[in-house]
Amino acid sequence: MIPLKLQIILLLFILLAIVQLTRMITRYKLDLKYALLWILLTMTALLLVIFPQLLSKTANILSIETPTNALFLLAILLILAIIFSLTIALSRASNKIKNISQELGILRYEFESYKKNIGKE
Amino acid sequence: MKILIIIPAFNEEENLGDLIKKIKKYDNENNLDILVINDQSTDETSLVCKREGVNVIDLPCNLGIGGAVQTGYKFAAMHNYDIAIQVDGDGQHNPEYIEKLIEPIIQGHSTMVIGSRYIEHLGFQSSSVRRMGIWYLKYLINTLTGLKITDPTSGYRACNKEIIQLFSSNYPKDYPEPESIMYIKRKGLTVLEIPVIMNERIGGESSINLHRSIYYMIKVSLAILFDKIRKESF
Repeated sequence: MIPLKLQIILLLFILLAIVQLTRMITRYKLDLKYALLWILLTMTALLLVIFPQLLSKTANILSIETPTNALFLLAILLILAIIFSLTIALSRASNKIKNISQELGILRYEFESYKKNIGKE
Repeated sequence: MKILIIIPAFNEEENLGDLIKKIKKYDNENNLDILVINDQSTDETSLVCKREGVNVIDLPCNLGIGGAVQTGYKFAAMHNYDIAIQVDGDGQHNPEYIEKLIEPIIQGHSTMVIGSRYIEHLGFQSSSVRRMGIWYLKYLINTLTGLKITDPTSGYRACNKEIIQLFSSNYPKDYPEPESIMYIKRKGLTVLEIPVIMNERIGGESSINLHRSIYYMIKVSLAILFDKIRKESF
């Protein structure tokens, strides 16, 4: 299967990632909403490192010859999901920026004309 | 009746002064309010407007034509305008057609009126490549909606109050003209075209150059197709 040394190194990496994720969420640096997929990713990785036989089983189910390829497939799918969620977040954010810019432009105009009228009186 | 002229402008210092003078000359009874939306121009667009004594909204970020125009509709909705007229800042549109443009709206014949170059085929007809693109969009919209719009990319249009409300809450973003026709049709409102004569732009640069036109066609086609399958409530 997988050498113990590699297993331990991978485990350390994942634990480090989990600690960092948790830290950022508790400090409000990372919105839980956007962290959900990352949590899913780390949990999957954790599971696979502790029980590597799961990967062989998955490969079997998907009729993929080597477990490594199953791992790549899984990893790429998760990464795509994360990227897609980013695109959604970006669309939402750009819409909000658009609305705020429009509002700000109008408000600035109204404010300037208000100031002018005050000056006249 | 309160009427607002919305002029979206990005780096149009060369054309805007003449356009505003023309509109003012046309509107000697001063029935029309003019509002220029300056979409973060790097030239003196804003200054030209102030010099001409015209209201100008300076956007804090560059929003593109759709976002700029929508700002005008939001302003019109806020201030309870009855009619909004969209006129391009590049001077292609002659103000003398404003009366014809708003007439069907005042009489209640249509909710939106578009000024088309391709009814009488007079004046500036655009390059042959662009005409092909416009021809294609015309057929695409016609097959999908049954509407006969000869100049779907024309930005010379007038809208009634209902559409002002609609556009201020939702307006297509990048290349909004053809898509907004689909939107109006989907909402069960009416579009009418009247013949106009347009000029060639004198100075400045068009926002759509040759290598952007392929992107334009693909994006607009997809936008139209997606709008076709969109539900009415959106």
